[in-house]
Amino acid sequence: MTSFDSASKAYDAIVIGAGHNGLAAAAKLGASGRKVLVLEAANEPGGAMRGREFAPGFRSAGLAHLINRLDPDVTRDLGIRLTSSTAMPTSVLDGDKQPVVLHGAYGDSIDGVSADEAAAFIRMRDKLIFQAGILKRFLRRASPQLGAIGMADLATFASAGFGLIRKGRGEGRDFLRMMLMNVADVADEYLEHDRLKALVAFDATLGIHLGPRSPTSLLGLYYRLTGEVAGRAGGQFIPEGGMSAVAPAFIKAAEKAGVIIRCGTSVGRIVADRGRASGVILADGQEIAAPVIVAAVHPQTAFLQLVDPAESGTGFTRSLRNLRTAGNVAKLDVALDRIPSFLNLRPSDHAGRIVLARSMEQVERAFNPAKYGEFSTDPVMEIVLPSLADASLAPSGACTLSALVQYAPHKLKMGWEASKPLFLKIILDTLERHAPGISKSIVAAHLSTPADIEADYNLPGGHWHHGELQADQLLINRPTGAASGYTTPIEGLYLASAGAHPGGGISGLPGWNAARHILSGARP
Amino acid sequence: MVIPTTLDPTMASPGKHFMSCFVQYCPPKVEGRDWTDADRDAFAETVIKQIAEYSPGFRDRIVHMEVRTPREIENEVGLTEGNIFQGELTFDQLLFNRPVPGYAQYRSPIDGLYICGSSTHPGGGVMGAPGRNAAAEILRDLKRPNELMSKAHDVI
Amino acid sequence: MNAMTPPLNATDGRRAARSHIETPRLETPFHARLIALSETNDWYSWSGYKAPHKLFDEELEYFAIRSTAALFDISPMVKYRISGPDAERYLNRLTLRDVRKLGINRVHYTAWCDDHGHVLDDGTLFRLGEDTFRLCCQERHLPWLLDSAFGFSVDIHEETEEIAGLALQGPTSCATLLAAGFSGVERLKPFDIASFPHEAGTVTISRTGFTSDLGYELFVSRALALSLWDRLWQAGKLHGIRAIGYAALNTARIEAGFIVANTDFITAEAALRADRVRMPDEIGLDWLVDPEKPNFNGRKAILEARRNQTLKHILVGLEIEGNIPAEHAIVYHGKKREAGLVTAAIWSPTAKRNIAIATLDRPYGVKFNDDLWVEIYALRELRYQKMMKRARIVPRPFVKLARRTLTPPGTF
Ligand SMILES: Cc1cc2nc3c(=O)[nH]c(=O)nc-3n(C[C@H](O)[C@H](O)[C@H](O)COP(=O)(O)OP(=O)(O)OC[C@H]3O[C@@H](n4cnc5c(N)ncnc54)[C@H](O)[C@@H]3O)c2cc1C
Repeated sequence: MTSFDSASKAYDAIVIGAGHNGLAAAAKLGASGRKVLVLEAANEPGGAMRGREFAPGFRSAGLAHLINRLDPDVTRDLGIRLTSSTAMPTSVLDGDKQPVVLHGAYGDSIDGVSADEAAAFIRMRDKLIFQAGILKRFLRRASPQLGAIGMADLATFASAGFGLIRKGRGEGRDFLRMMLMNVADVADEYLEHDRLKALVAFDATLGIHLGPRSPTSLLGLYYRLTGEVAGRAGGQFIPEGGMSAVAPAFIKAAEKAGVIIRCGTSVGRIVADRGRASGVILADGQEIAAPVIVAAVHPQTAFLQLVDPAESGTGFTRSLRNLRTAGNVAKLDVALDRIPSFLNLRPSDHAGRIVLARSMEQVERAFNPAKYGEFSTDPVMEIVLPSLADASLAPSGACTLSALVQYAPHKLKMGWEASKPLFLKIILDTLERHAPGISKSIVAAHLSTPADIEADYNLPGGHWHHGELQADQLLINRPTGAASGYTTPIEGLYLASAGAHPGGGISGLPGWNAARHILSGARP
Repeated sequence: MVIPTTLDPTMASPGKHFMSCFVQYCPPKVEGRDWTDADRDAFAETVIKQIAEYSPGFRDRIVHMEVRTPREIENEVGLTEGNIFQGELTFDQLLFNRPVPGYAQYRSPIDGLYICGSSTHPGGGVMGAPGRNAAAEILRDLKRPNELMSKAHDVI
Repeated sequence: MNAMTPPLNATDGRRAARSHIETPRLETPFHARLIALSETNDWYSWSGYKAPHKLFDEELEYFAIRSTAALFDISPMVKYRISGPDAERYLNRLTLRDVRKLGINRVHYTAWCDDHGHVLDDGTLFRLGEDTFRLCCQERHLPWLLDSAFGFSVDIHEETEEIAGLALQGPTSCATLLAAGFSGVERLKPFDIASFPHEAGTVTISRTGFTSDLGYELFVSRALALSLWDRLWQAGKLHGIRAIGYAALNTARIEAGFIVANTDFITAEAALRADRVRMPDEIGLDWLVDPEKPNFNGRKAILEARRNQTLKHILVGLEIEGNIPAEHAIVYHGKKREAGLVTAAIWSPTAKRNIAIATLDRPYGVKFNDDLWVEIYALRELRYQKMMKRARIVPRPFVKLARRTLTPPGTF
């Protein structure tokens, strides 16, 4: 890497995008003594966790409404403290029968199913967590590079291998059998209960363009189970102070490391000449030089908008244009004049995660229209009541509800403009079925489709992971072969957003890994 | 759809033709229950109707017709659930997992009994590879040389 | 992109879509003249077009190139018109040479690579105006050219069918053109382009060719093709004009040392086997690579391969003892170790030498240049005569003629 300490350069590194990954990268670089500038197009940092007032007196804390994969190594290293005293339960409702409630980390105990069924779930969960643990070894490192497998990669492979052998041949064999299966077949192997199956089907496919019966859909569940809360895989929480506390924690870490964050500063161009990046040009024409440019934005933004296409190879541009990155999740923020009451759900469980999904088949059928550019008329969703954890989000006595709704394709055949009111009505009707009376307490409802998310968050496709998290876009192919492992075909330009390995969600890993990779001085 | 008699007229009496259709998707069970003759005939009717849309008058040219749903295929040639590949060609049933983990080497739990159908690696289709591979394994077990087995390709 | 006229109805559409079955080989705009002249009825398929392998006599056709004027139909050559405000920038990213240095009404030979620096094709780039170019090549590349256009304001149009092309090569080619009324053509220097009126349209004439001889290439719209042929034919009568087929041209191009895609190297898109692709430096095109110009496809990979010395092959000209062409012969070092393969070979009628173009595996051809041999199998009445012949690396072209570059050309 070019020397960081040359005095003539004002900045050693410029990070584009102040999402949590950009901030994590900046904090890590800053902590090593580098002079780092973060440039953010929006008027506030935080990326997808940028909050806003969506109705007078009611705030949304951003797109993400809970944490399930914030990496403990990242937070420890950057001195970020985001904790919670209570683990959130997950309740699965079908609008009719008693809810199924999972407590602890992904169902340590389960209410609403037979003891046998709960035991079967634990068996399946433990197996999947074990298997996810093998994949997890790859998350905290740059993905191995084809043709340049290093000692550390071998060590990771070896430890993954040992991990398998330790459990015996049968486990290894089962992992290789199951790895690319669909979640529905796995659920059918272990479970009987409709809503337990519905839950794993939902969790495996949330944010991904797959139905439970689509090949390889189990990968989504593995990914979820690589996340941990308080050392336990599969849990989730909202930190003290709510989700609004997450972005500031990252910002603080960056600022403590001496990072300068400039908001309302859209980058218009990454300056590169014959394969070497040297700075950025802002939308207003100002040029800022730096030997290291970290693009913590969607890979398509970086290479199809910010870098002059003449600086990329045709094949590389082609692979980025072919990136599958059409979002599927809509985000609903609802302002309520009181705390809602979901059918048969204990009050304490309202502070948890509520999943509306009757059966695996419902999840599958909700996916079908999305294949053809239509939204689900019987959608499945994950609900959180954010103001219960962060009273500042709503006036006293009132409440906010956040729902992540599947499936809402980015490119709707009928066009979102015309169809959004209908989709909103379908979602609100669904809410009413599960929480009778809720309609009457609605003060305002704000629905963001992937198209809205694309526009509001500078996020091509409005995709959860900045690009499908599927077998063809993982590891050495994330986001695409020539730009995997944080380096890119352009020297001095690095990728550090959810579009890079290991993927999306509030984990901090892509940014932190990218910074570590830069600091290691590894040649591109 | 293929009409083999356009290449080999001896398959049918002079002036007549033989046509064969593979139709996707046809599950082994209909809404969870077994196929009935009525289901089969109704399905055939759907197919004929669709072909006739592309080939007007098609229906009137039919002299004789046989319809095989997965039920008939299972009954006639013993293919379980009428799966023409003897098991889905999905990753969990490929390579070292074909047909099931632990028995992917053409040997069965019973000594001397070998498997070499499409259900074994590398799978279905008129290919011959599972049989050839199984023969190689059998020769290995018999401690007999296999250099007499011809190579599939001398040059690739 | 070429617009397609929508079919009238579904049946017509289906019929139209299969018309290619009834026309296995397309005819070029000059077919009527070629078929009238063909005494041997010896045709081959050139990119799907019916093209003459020879018309009357391979050797006499060859000597038309070297002694009088040879008329060769190059219409099947793939042609793209590239225009728009970003055309120069676009082509500079696409191809190896610096297009900024290519003047208006000039042609240069160039090549283009994929991201890995593997050659996709070579060809000639004509600059017809500030923002208008024509790219001529052997293989089709529309998808690649269109994908490369992302982010550029440029229009890419395949004009292979619309534009007819003729090569007129040989010592009396200039005299023929002058006799045909193209006065001023004598002022064209090698790689110059000029336009001349022809009938109601124009003909574009460039001083280019594939023969290493004095020669020109002419492009007209398809409708004017036959009248242009007739005009040249009439004018060339007293200058010994002959129509020729590919066999004769191929002899001349080997003498000139030119390579042909998918004959002397496998293009990156045609290669099925991973080790068959080639970098420019591996097929004698290193001189096209311009590291000083702005970024271009394959730049990083090519420079890295040079730096890390990972280039595996080299293309050389060989002179082989004896007079039996060593076509597709294996090249040996010290008569034992395989060192490469001959991709084209002839007894050169003009150089009076046994010459060949070969690809060697480095370090042969780089470090070990001596003690090279080729093993020739000459099949004579069902028996192979095997010969081990000494081969010497020699510079290309094998034939260098002063008249190729002399301006104005001599009047023969
Ligand atoms: C609807 C939805 C719900 C989600 N819910 C959850 C959840 O509950 N839990 C969870 O863990 N994850 C959730 N996610 C995923 C998570 O939000 C993302 O994966 C994560 O935010 C990615 O972080 P990032 O830093 O890589 O990118 P981002 O957060 O997208 O940040 C990128 C930043 O770059 C800026 N930018 C873009 N272009 C430019 C430019 N030219 N110049 C300057 N700045 C620019 C953008 O404005 C943005 O601030 C959700 C995602 C979506 C879409």
